[in-house]
Amino acid sequence: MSITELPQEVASNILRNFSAVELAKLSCVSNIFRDFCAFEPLWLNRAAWEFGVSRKALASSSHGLLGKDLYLHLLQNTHVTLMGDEWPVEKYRKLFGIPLYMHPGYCKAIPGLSRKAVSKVVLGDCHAAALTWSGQLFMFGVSPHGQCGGGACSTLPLPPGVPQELQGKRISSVALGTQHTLAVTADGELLATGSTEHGRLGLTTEDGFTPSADGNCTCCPTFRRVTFPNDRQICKTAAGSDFSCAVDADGGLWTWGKADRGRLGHSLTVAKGEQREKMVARPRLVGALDGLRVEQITCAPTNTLALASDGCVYSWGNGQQSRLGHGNAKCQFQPCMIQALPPPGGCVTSLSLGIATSCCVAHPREQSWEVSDEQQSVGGVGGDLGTREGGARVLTHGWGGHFQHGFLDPKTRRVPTEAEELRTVKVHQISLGVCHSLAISETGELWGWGYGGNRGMGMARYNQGNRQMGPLKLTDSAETLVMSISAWRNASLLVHCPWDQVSDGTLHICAEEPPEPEQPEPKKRPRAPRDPEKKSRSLEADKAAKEGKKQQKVLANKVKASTAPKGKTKQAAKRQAADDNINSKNRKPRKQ
Amino acid sequence: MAGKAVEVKLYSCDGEDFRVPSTVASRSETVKNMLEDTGEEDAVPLPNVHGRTLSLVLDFCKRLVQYEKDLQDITEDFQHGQLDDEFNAWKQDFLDIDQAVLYELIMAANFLNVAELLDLCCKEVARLIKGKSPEEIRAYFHIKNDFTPQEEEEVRRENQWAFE
Repeated sequence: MSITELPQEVASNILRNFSAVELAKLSCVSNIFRDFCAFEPLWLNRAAWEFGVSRKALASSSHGLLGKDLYLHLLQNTHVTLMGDEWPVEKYRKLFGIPLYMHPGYCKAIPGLSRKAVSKVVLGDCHAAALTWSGQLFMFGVSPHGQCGGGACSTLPLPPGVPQELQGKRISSVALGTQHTLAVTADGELLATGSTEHGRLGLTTEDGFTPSADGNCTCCPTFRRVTFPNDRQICKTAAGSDFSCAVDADGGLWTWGKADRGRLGHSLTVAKGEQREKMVARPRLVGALDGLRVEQITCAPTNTLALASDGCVYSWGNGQQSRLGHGNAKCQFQPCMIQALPPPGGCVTSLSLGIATSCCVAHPREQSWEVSDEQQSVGGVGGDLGTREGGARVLTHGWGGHFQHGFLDPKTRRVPTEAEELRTVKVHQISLGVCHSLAISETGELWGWGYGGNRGMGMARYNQGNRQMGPLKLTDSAETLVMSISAWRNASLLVHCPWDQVSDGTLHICAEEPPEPEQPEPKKRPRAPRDPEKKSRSLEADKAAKEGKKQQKVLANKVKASTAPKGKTKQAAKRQAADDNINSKNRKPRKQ
Repeated sequence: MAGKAVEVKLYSCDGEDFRVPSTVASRSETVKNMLEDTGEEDAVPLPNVHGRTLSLVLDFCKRLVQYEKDLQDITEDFQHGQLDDEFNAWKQDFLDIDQAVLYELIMAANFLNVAELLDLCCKEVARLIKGKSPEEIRAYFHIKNDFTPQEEEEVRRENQWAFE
């Protein structure tokens, strides 16, 4: 008997172990293979798996597209859209005299990235990355520290382009810091570009690169290989604002860059009176996670969250506003297990960090994707999203001053707590910005919550007039499927695929604009005029100002401007004030 | 019936008969349904499965039943991994067979509806195909390139996106 004699449905059992690219290649073997690979359910499965949309949703809203046609449509007709009027962030625009990247334009697609098969986007303060399914890495934005690579620093807006030194390389993952970029190639190399300040690139003289002696800002505007002991293969990477992380093929975690507040997780214990190491210039293995494989890693500007092979979540770094989830606001100098995770009966499946808000998505244990190495090397499991539909729970901890933690009150959550309101979202993917959060549902719809000013959620008035709302459905899967999201500051970058093949990629927000606030004051953020809490709030701000804590003031102002007075009890306000006081004790000017 | 293993009789297409505990035979959904219909006393004829293949299928089912029993008996978590390792090693040995036998096993697993075996064998074939170019696959599996030049060009153009 030969493989070609197998009946179609039996052959499809073999072929479900292959990725779409492999299926397409197999079609070129012979007529019978071409027939085998044309089997529609195979492509529906691949589409569901690779684009993260449930099979049910795909089958019901596919607009007549079936099998391979459906898959290719979703692969090739993507657009990358920027939402928000504030990108690059104000600080950089002022500092370098940079103009806005896009005209304030209500969710228009970024020219040059439409129909490029983009799989993933990442948004930073002033630069952004788009990674395609074939491993091309497009960088765009502005590159004042060379964070876009390509050989030069520039304060002019760069259109999306693949940096020259990455031509011909397949990139498998990418991470952005504020002033640097890390990329992992399919061959297991780690490449870095951008500012070398604090040793965040991990490059030294041995790599043919010399940072200046005082450790002050010098730039390496070209992607260069970061070397690891014994030529270790790297498979994942993450970046904080001024430090870097990489996970090697054995699951070992390496960190380097700025070391204060424990963000590197090396503990770095010191004798009394001695100073802690300020920076680590070369990748160094995090010893506290020895014996565990790091499965997922994600960094906020000053803290890190890791999911390990034991199913536990570890956090370390800056602990202000309880962002580490240990019930206090202390910094942790080495990875520390979060007691409340995984939740009973569940397992953590993905992580996301904003600046001071942290979130984990958990699924019921029986719905987890247990992907063994063997299965992975055979090229993806046969499983599909369908097996874990509807089970997602979102647990958040940390700051929620703008309700971005998913609760309907601004209280800080000290330990991971489930946001019940987010159950309705059926989260598949989540991205926390700073004041707003975005999620993609299992049906490919975009949801948002938190502060939606500056059109960060695509709407002009959302959340103005101090209104707070629960999660809001922003796009309709009958119109477009959202595939990747990245929320940052007051902007959002996303990949979506409209069903309309001739669409110019403009994203239509289906959520209703909240009603015009009464007595609108144009160009001025309306404040609640008769706010009983206002007095105490201003007092708080005054106090902070007296203490000379500039950041505190900014924070308090922000809270004042955007939290809902409505439904907010005096007690809650007191508690918030207490929180702020705790947080202000050890506060140094925070780099935002 | 409880506690005492009931034996059932299975007939392959070439007339070989097999006596196995009903717990083992019931790993095949097909046999299980037949047993439910006809009762466990009657011999079950399996006209689609050859004796040597059936023997392999039953070997697998026996090992699977044993593995599941062992899993229930363990008290410590670390033993879980140990049992998995042992079972995986056994599977490796089990799959050390000719390609032709492998396909027959797939057909039998499909007919008898033994999901675990079908999955195992299909993954094995997938492993053999993985990472090979169309030319290498033709050579490895002795498949003739039966495309006409026009078809060949068409299929290449259709799937060009995958080669980029």
